[in-house]
Amino acid sequence: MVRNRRIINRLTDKSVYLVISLVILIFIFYPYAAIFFAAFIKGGTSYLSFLRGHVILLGHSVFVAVLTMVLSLLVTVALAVIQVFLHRRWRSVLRLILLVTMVAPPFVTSLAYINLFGRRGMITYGLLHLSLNPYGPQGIILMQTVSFSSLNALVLLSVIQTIDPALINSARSLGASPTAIVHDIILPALRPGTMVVALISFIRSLADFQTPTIIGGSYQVLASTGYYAMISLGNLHLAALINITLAIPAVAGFFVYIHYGRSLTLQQHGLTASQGAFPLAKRGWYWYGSLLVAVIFYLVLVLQYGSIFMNAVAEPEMGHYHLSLQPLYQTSFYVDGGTIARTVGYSLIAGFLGSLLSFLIIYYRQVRRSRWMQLMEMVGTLPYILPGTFFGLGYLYAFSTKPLVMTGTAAIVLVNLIFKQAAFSTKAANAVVSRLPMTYFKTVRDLGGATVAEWRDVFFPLTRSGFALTFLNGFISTMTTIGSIIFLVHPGQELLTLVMFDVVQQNEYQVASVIACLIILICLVAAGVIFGALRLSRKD
Amino acid sequence: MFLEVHDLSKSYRQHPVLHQLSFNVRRGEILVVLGPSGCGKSTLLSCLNGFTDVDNGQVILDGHDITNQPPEERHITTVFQSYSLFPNMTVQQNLAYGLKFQSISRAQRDEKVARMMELLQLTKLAATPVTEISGGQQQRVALGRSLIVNPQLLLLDEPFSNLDAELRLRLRAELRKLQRQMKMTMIFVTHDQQEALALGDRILLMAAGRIQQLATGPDLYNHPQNQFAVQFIGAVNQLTGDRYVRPEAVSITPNPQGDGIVTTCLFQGATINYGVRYQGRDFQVTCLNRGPQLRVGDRVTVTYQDKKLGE
Repeated sequence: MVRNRRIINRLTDKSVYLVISLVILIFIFYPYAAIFFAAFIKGGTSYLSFLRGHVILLGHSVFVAVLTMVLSLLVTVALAVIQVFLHRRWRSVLRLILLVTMVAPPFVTSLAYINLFGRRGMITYGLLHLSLNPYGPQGIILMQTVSFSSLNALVLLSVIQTIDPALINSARSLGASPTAIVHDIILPALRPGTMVVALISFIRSLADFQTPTIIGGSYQVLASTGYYAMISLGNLHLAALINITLAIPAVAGFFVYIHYGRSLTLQQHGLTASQGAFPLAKRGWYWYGSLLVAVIFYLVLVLQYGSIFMNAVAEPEMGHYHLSLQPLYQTSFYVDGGTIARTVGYSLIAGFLGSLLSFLIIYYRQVRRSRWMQLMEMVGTLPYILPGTFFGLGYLYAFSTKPLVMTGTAAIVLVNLIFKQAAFSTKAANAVVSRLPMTYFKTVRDLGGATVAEWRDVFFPLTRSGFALTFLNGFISTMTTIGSIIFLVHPGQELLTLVMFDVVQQNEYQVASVIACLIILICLVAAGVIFGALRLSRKD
Repeated sequence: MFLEVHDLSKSYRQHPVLHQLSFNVRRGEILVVLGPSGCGKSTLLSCLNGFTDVDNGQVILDGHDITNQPPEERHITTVFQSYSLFPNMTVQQNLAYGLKFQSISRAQRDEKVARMMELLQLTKLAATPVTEISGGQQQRVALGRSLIVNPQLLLLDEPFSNLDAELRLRLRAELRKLQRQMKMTMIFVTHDQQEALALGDRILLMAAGRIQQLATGPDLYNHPQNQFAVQFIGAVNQLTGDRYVRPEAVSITPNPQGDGIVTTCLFQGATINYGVRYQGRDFQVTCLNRGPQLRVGDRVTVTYQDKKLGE
C-alpha cells in the first residue's frame, strides 16, 4: 500500500510539472513568438521603415512618458514624505485611501477628467461657465500622473516603514531639524524606491492606450495608434510592430527594476516598522511643500471619485444636480446580468487559477530548486513586463490559425486572463514562499511524505493568507483589466471594462460612471469577504 | 557495523566540502560529530538523510546501500536545528505526522502517540498548538516526532543550540535517558565541546571536511592525535615541538621564592583559572576552588607533566 502511494505521488508530481511547463509554453511563450515571427519574418513593412514613418509618434510617446514620470515622481515623493509628519492614525487613513483608489478601472481618471473639465464639465462648465477643450497631451500627462501615483506612493510608503527608528532618533538627539532629517535620512533611504517608481511610471505611460484614446484628442501616441491599427484598420502587422517597439523600453526597464528592486527587498527584509520615530515636528520646507502637494492630490482623488459617483446617481438640470435613477436606467441598455456575471465569473476563475499556477511554479522553483521551472517563471513573467495589448495581440496571432484555433470563443479570453494573472501572482507568490523555512518540507520527506503531502500539509496551509491575497489581487486586476483582452472579446461576450471603454468613446459618460461604480463596488465586496475570512481564520 | 560510510565526498561548485570520509557507527551508539562552523558537519548529515546527493562514496545502513535512496524511503529521521514543527498543527498532530505514511491502523497510531506523549511528558499538551509551547517542550515534540516512526537511525542537527544553558543541560540528560531506553542509534551534530563530551559514546572530530580523530571523549581529550584536536578540545598550553600540557595538569603552590608569577586570575565557581608567567612562557592553569585564592603578582612554584601529541 505504501508502494502504491509512492507510485501515485510520483505520477502526480511528474504530471503537474509537465502540465505547468506545457501551459506556460503554449499560452505565454507561443503567442509572443507568433508576434515576433509575424513582425520580422513573415514579411510586410520592415521595422526600419516603420520606425522612420513613426518618428513623431515615438517622440510624442517619449515626451508624455518622461513628463508623466517626472510629475508622478514629485507627487509620489511628496505623498511619502508627508507621512513622516503625521500620527499613526492619519497615516493609516491616507494609506487606506491609496489602497482603495487602486480598486478602479484604469481609465477612470480620464472619465473623471472629462466629467470635471470637459466641455460640459462640472467645474469648467458647471462652476466657471467655460467651455474649454480638455483634450490633448496636458490631459494625458495629468491623468496618468494621478492614475499612477497611488501605486507608486504605496511602494515608497513600504520603504519608509523599514527605516530604522534609531537612525532618526539619533539625528534628533544631535539637534537635527525635521528638514535635515528628511533631507539626510528619509530621501536617501527612498532612493532605490524612487528609481523603481520612475521606471514603473515611464513604462506604464508608454503602454497606456486608454488615456490617450479617451482624452488625447488629436494628439496620438504609439500605444493609441497601435489600438486604432487593430480596431479601425485591422492592420495586425502594424499593431505588432508598434507593440514590439513599446516592449523594448519595457524589457530594458525591467532589468533596471530588478536591480533597484533587489535593494528595496534587502531594505525590507532587514528592519521593522519605524513608528517609534514619527511624527516629526510640523515645520520646515519639506512639511509645507509635501503638505501642499498631498492636499492637492487627495483633493483631486476626492473630486475624481466624487464626480464619478455624482455622475452615476445624479443628473444636471439648470446648473444643479439632483438625484436620479436615469443613469442606472440608461446603463441597463448596455449592461445586463449576464455581463456582470460573466465579468465576476471570469475574475473568480482567473484569480484562482492564476494564483494556483503561480504558487505551484514557485513551489517547484524554490522548494524543489528546479532550474527548468526558474526558466518557466521567467517566461511566465513576460505578460507582467510587456504591454497588455502585446499579449492580446499575441493571442490573436497564435490562436487564429492551426494547430490551436480559439479566436471567437470565451475560452481565449479566459485563458488570456488566467495567464496574465499568473504573471502578476508569481511575484507575490515568490515573496510569500520565500518566508517559509525550507526545513518544513525536509521534515515531511524525512518522515516519509512526498510531494502531495508537502502540498497538503505544509505548502498550501502555510501560504493560505498569501494565496488569498494573491487571489484577491488577481480578482481585482481581472475586474479592471482591458489591455490584453480588448482584441479578443467577441460581441455578446463583453466584460464590464470593455463596455465601459466603449460607452466612454460614445460620450455616454453617465453610463460609464455607473459601470465604474459597479466595478468598484464588486471589488470592495470581494476585498471585504477575503479580509473578513482571513481575520476569522486568524481568530481560530 | 550498523552504519558504514565509505569514502564519502561532496563538493559545491568545485569547492570540496567533504573529503573521502570513512567511519562506522555501532548499533545503539550515540556518535557525536563535533567541529567548528563550516567544517562540513551539516553537509555530512544532509548526505546521510538523503537531502544532498553525494559525489562519491557509499552509505550502508544495516547492510543496505542507501546512497542513492530518496529521503522518504530511508529509515532515517532528522531533528533539525529549528525543529520545524508544523505551526498549523497541535502537539498531538505533529507527533502523529510521520505515522500517516506507515501502514498502521488509526487505533495503533493513537496508541503510539499516547505512549510517546507519556514518555516525553507531553500528555497535558496534546491539544495545544505548537506555537504556544516553550522551547524545551518544542524540542521534545520534535524529538518525539522523529522517534515515533521507529527509525533505524536518528540524526540531530544542533537541536539544543537555540536553548539557554540550564535547559540544554536538562535536555541533554533527558536525551541520553531516552536513547538508552529505546536503544536508538543516533548521530548528533554540535559545535559545543561540553555537549559532545557529555553525550557521545564516541566523537567524530571534523575540520575542513576531513576527519581529525574518531575516539571516545576521554581518549580525544587525553590523547589528541594532532594539532587541531589538541587545540580544539579544551584549553591547552602548547610547548615546543609537539609537546603540550593541559591547564589542570599544571600544579602551582604559593612560594615567595618560586619561579612563576601569577599574571591573571579568573574565578569560575568550581574552578579558578590562573595565568602564570614561568620560564618565559605564559601558562594557563586551572585549579579547583579549594583553599585561599591566589592574587595577581603572587610568586608560585610550577610543576607539570607534559605529553606528546599522538601518545
